[in-house]
Amino acid sequence: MHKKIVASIVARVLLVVSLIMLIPLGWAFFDNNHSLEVFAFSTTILLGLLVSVFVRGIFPLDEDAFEHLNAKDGLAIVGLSWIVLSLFGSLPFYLTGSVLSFTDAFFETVSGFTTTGATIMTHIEGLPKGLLFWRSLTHWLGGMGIIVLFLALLPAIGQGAYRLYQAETPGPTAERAQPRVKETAKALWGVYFMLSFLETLLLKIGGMTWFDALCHTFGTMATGGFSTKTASIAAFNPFIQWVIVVFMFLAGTNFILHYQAIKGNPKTFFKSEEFRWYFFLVLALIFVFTFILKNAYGLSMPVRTAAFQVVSILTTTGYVTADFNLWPQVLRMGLVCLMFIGGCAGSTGGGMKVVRVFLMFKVAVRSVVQTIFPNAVIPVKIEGKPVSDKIVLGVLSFGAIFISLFVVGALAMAATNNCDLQTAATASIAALGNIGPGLGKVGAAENYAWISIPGKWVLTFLMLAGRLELYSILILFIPTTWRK
Amino acid sequence: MKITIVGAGVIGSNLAKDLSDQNHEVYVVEKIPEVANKANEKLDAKVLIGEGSDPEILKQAGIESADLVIAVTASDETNFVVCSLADAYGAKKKIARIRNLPLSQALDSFGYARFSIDEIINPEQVAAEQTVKIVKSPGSHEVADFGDGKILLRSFVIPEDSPLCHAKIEDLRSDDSPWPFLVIAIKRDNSVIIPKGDGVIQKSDRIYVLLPSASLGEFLAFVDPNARRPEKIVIYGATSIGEKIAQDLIGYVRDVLVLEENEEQAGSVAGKLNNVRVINGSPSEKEILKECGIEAVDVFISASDSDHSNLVSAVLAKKMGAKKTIIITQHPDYMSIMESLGIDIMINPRFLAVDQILRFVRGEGVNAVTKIVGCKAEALELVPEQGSPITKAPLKDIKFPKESIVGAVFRDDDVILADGNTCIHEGEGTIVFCHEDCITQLQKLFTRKKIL
Repeated sequence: MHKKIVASIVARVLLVVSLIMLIPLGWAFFDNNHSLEVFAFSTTILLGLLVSVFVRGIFPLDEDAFEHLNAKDGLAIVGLSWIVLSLFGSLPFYLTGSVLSFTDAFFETVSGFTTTGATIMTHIEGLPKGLLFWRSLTHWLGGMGIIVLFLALLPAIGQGAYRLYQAETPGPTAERAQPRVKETAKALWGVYFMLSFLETLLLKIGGMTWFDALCHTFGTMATGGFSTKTASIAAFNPFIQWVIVVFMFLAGTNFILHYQAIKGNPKTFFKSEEFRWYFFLVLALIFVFTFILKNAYGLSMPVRTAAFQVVSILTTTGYVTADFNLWPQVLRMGLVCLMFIGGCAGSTGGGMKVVRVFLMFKVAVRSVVQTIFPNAVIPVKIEGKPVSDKIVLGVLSFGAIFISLFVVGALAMAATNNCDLQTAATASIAALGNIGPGLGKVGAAENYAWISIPGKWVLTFLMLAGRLELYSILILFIPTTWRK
Repeated sequence: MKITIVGAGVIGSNLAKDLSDQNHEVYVVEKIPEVANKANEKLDAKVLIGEGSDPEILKQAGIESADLVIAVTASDETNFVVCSLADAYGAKKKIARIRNLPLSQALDSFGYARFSIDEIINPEQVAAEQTVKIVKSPGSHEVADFGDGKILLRSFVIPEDSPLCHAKIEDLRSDDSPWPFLVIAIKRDNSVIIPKGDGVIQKSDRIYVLLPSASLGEFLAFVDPNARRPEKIVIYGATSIGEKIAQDLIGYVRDVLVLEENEEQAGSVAGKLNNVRVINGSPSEKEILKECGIEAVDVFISASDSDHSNLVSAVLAKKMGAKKTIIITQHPDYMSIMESLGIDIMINPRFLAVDQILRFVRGEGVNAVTKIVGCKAEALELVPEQGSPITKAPLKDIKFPKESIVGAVFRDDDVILADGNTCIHEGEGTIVFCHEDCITQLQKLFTRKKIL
């Protein structure tokens, strides 16, 4: 690892985020009653700036330093940036005394940045405004990606840029909307910003306050799940719920497609095989869920509830309008399955991503056919084009690591907490897939406050690994990463 | 600028790197998936996998609105088709690599425009020309010509007994010198110095000198009294490069020998060239080299198609007494081991091609660019705009970036070597040299300040 370059870039990212923290500081300042909150934010910002300037001071970089950036450095930069930012981001929670331990503060911040939305807060309405705003803002920053924002805002860093972009963008391959990574990053954040603006407006029209509208937009567009209400979206009217369903769906779509649609090419949506799977999967599931909820569970008008919960869980947002913990077993199991799938590649959603799941499905079908015709040549195709073996292998390895982490996570949760099997298993996938709520004691109406300290660290690790698609975090545990 | 490059080989990928570093919007089309994937990771450019002659792929690569299309695939035919398609789709400027010499000559005689090509580059031909220039300037290692060959840049290693050894730079800049010349850079222990008036040339410095072409012969004799015109050269490889070098050197050199392993090729080149001794055999055999009389050879040029054989035979020839070795290699990474192997000069056709294309791209007011001193410095031909800072005062009163120097000015069909009193007027081509770091700073001097 080129420690100097890595440290210097992480410091730059910290600078960007410290400056962004001025927004919640402003909110806290005008909210006025909580002087402790203003102090907490100002201290964090000052500390962030100081550390950033100091680190860049001891590791000055010459212009062509970025030329040396290799794949390992790219991953390490992204992994370390997220850890460092989460450390700084958790300071306001800790300094205001809103949470009792640093573990809790770190858990809440990681849950925010990774767009998980699992909370340790038991009474959300009691939190000061600035802090609530920051909590939701971490979602929004983490959703499209802090590194991608950094690439869009700061001067081009040349060839290393694609490695950083690739390491943070979810999916088996990172597409470019524009030839230059900087322009791509700008385009993606531009689309993200526009959609967010639209949603905020609609939520305001639906009757939310500006504050709630903004916070819930951040939660939706990032497929996060933090709300300003303990009751989550159930606290709002049907119009607002439908708006959120639509925007959760959009946030779970590849943003490159949105970009091309805005550029005047809306047909690309249905040209994309991944989008077709995603779209028809959602439609089919809404239909099935509605049917079962009406007949077996006895809800009178279950379409909205079914649509909301299917989209919320599939896109890994984790907002709730109904306590699905009480639903029929088949639906509960169905939701757990959706947690593994997640959103599309290039979206803000988590999970394994739709494209990987259907690719694995195709590979499975191929291997079955090949037992019948041992010499058959069967290319795995996406959109009619064969996918290279390297990508197929990458997807399979990803699946293997993802499932292993889920199993190990569930085991660790069962070992560190006094809980049932269902709670341990769904807490593990809810963290790894960046969903938020699981079943049982981490269900829709519960929270994560009761989990033991080691358990919280396990979940924190899973959330980071899940958001950064495993490798950026995993390589930090391999000694060779740290060697020259 | 929006630029589409077809072919991500050594030329294509190096071009894409340089161009995207200069903030251009670059698309690359490559048909081999492995090569494309590597390029995608390495470059800040959009890489598409597909045939260069596939209109669908070209459209995705933005050919319809491209300012420049560069076709540098391995196939002349594909490059040709790419340019035609690019023209039909509305791309502004088209550059094609055409390696087949007779084809490029034919295109030349009809005029490229007829084939919807704006520029043709032929790396092999450029490499051959470069090699010939070096052979014709004994003692010189790097060569570049400006203003249609009116003014030359040559580099020399200074021996102990040269009159220039221990000379002070300001003493050399007198007007009454019989052969006007200007020392524009000195390479000493791997660092590049742009000399100031009080600088002193030392033994084994490599100096870069700018001089009018007419005084080349006298200057060569002056700078190194021991240097003499080469009498015997051996060219290994009857390739198109080898053949062209041989052809151009007949008449300048007394004995030209061509070594070729392949009997058929040897026969064919022997039939084509007169006054050349063609020997059929491998240069990695001592016997064959002895047959050539290698101990009396002044220059040994490796120009075969195999990079490995080129390297091995040049090392062997040097060991057996060849005075100077030049190798022509396509390999991008050999440059770094050249010196330790005792090879004097390395010429890479692909890098030459990259340089040549960059000249077309390097913005307005820049006519020519040549990288010198192992790419650490550049020679640029700039044309000052009306009202630009450089036209406002004599050179000595203008504040230049530290590592830069003005070399010569083209004025009314004449070339003037610059000194402190020279005034540059708008529109006069000016040759400047600078360290790569201060190119943009230097370019500012030649452009008018834009007031928004």
